[in-house]
Amino acid sequence: MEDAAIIELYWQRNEDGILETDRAYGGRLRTLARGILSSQEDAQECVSDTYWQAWRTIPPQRPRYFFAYLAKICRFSAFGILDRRTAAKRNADILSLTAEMELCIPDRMGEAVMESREIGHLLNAFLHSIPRESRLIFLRRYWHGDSVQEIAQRYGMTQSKVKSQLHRTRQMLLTYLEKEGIHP
Amino acid sequence: MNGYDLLKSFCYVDETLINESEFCVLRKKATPVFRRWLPIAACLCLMIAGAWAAIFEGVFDPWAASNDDTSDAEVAYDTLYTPTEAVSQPILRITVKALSDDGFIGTVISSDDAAYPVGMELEFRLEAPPSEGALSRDYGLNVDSGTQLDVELISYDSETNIARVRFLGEDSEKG
Repeated sequence: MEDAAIIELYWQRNEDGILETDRAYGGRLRTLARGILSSQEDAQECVSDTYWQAWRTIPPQRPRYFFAYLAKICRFSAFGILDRRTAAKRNADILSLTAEMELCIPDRMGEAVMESREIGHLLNAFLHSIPRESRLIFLRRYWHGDSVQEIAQRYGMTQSKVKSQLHRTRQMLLTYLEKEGIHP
Repeated sequence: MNGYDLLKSFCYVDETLINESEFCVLRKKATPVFRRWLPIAACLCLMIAGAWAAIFEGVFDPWAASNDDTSDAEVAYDTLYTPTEAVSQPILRITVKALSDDGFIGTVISSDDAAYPVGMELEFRLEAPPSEGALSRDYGLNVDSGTQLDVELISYDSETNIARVRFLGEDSEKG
């Protein structure tokens, strides 16, 4: 079923909309949640929460990109669960991604208390300013949580090329945040 | 702000970008055939040009190094066997007048050198034994007086009036 048709079901308050959503995007959403939480049960809980949030917000929302809308809710939900865990209990993938992200933070911003939304705006501006290939690879790694191997397979590249692209984009983000970032 | 905060704030990335990253594929730019073969062709051309220059233009001399190290023996060999410019020696036609101890006494009857005019009388010594038996007697001549000979002058000592000559031929007609 097309996205528009599924959204129409939500607008009609037809619960089949949730079933169709799960049929269309359930797998992708569970993969996304599992990548962040590394637990099948938590991932399922996260996806269920996503459907509930979608049911609650459509209408009045009529998302333009339905999967992106759901995935965003799912990621928020997964990080909500992750926030409740201590750093020690977070999975290795997330710890690895966190360590890589640390490299993008300028020293002077380390002490700054910044709203996630604020950083999000900076990230959006940055992502729109870089080449498409770099952006896709960067988002697959840090938004979807894909491994380097998965990205290489997805885009038909060598792993070393993916790594070098990620490294370069991280350097660009560091420079961007140094220039544009909010000062402490 | 730490790495985790930055990672979490990716949640605020635009839906357009998320959609793009989920559904868009990177199309590999088709590499034109000439782009693939151009460097190889360029290398081949360079190699051919280099070889041409080395072989036909003498730009590259593979034996240059060994030439620098020419041994003394090689120099001596080259010196010995390098053809020298031919120096023309006077050719004389003489008439044998009489035999002497080591040669004979003769008179010039024709000459291509003004230093040895017709009528000049000299004592001749043959430089080497002539190949013909008729002229081989102790570096002298076994010829009758009056015989005409063609000789090439090697050297002439005006004090002793002795000319060293090389035998060229004999004219059987007597003057």
